[in-house]
Amino acid sequence: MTYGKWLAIFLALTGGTVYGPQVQAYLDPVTGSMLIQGLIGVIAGTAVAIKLYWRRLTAWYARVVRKEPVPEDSSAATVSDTAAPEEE
Amino acid sequence: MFEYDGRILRSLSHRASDDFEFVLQKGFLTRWVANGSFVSATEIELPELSEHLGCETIVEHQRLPFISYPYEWSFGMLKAAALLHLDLQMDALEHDVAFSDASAYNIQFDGSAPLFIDLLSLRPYRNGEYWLGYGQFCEQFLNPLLLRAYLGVPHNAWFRGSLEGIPAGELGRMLPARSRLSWRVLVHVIGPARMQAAALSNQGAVAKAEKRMTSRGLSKLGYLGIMEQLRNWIAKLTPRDVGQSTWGDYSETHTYGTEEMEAKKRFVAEFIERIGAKLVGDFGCNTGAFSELACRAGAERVIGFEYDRVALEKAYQRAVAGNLKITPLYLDAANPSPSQGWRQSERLGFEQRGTFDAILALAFEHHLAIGRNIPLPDVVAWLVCQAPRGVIEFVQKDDTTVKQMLALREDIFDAYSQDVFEQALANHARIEKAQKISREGRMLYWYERE
Repeated sequence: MTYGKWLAIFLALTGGTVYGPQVQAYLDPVTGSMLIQGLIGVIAGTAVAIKLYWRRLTAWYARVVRKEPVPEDSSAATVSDTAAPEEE
Repeated sequence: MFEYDGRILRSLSHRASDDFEFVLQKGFLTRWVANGSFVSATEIELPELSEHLGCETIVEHQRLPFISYPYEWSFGMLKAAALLHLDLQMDALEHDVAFSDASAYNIQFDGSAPLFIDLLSLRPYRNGEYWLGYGQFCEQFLNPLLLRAYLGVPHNAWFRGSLEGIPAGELGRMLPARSRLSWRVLVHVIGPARMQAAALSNQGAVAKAEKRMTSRGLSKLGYLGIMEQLRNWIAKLTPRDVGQSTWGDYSETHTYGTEEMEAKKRFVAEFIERIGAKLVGDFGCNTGAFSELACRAGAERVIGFEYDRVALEKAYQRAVAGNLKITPLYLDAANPSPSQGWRQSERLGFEQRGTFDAILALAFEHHLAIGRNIPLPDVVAWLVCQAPRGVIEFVQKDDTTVKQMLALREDIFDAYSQDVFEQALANHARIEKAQKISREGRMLYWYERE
């Protein structure tokens, strides 16, 4: 007997309610969506990479050349974490 | 997911439990729950239940007062839900967690704030994987938003009839030619539409190309890039409304004098203050002025219902601006959302989602009784069914608004009168208080169901 049936029987006996039918979470990726992602992934990924390095460059310039204090909540932090994951 | 002993529980199989542990260890879930973007999920010990079900873990969720679906949301709500979905996905991806789908039904509203409710959507990210939910995201968020933004057509009716959203192929056929000059439309709508058409005529070739692409994998930066691109685009979308809304300007153009409006406000405020309602349903909430008044008078939550999309959007913006616990939803009371989906039990109909502690139905009943030819006693009976107590406004036949409604049609409403209304109300409830609030004769009734 499947897990879903056990759950339904148990709840029927104990007076609980199952929300909706026990449908398995399964997703059919739309045909061609991976091809599209392959195409835009390169371009969009490059854009993210450029932005990321640009932010690093401007942060470095501000810190080293102009000797500005580093802001605590640097927006560069979120993106740079992606490129080079730090130890958690 | 099930209800047990009045609690909302979710049982996790062994594999889902492993994923849940993995996600928990990353730490971001606690932050999401704290800032209100993710449903609370507490692991609980119910050995008897888990043993019986043969599941590893049982998680308890917070109970939401009223479930809503994307086809009941305004444009702004669908947009807020889309942005939340992308923000959470991007945040998760930075912690090596991916979402297994992108269903709009995984988002609910707590007041005006979107809330992600599906714990099982989160699982470990696999290097090089594609965004599996991309197609679903486009159909359930992007395409419905583009329909309104480019064509001025609200998504609600189409989405309600097509529960999985709006396919790229169908939207693509309708978009104006100049929108195809946009690189984003080309890539996210026209491209997928062509691809699907090509797959139908030459399945083998598309499958082969897709397999080749999949084997190469998508970089994490590419994955993030696609989501960031969509986020930037969606954040800038606004509804393009063609034609005027009937009730969108009601709060500025209504027929009340200042003093009359004050009397109406005092009546409603006194009602809310005295009953101390937790959940109030505001039928015909318009731009949410009385929903706001109810909140300020002490109602914990208000679910507003409105037929006019422009007014609905204004009500949502009011809730956002005031950080109020108001969730305005699209409702045609003469044809409410039905139970639908697999075995008609995936998405519950309006009447199946519970009742309210109290209702407000201000300047509402005549739209059903006169506007939609529903017998007045039926309208009253339906309203009284929604909550044990409430305030209903009766608009008499010689009122300016009703006169306008009858100006171009035959008056077949002999049985529409204050006497009939009072009799119908008295059949189901006790009239606690009644007050004339406009010079023309509009009445407010506070009813208490026996």
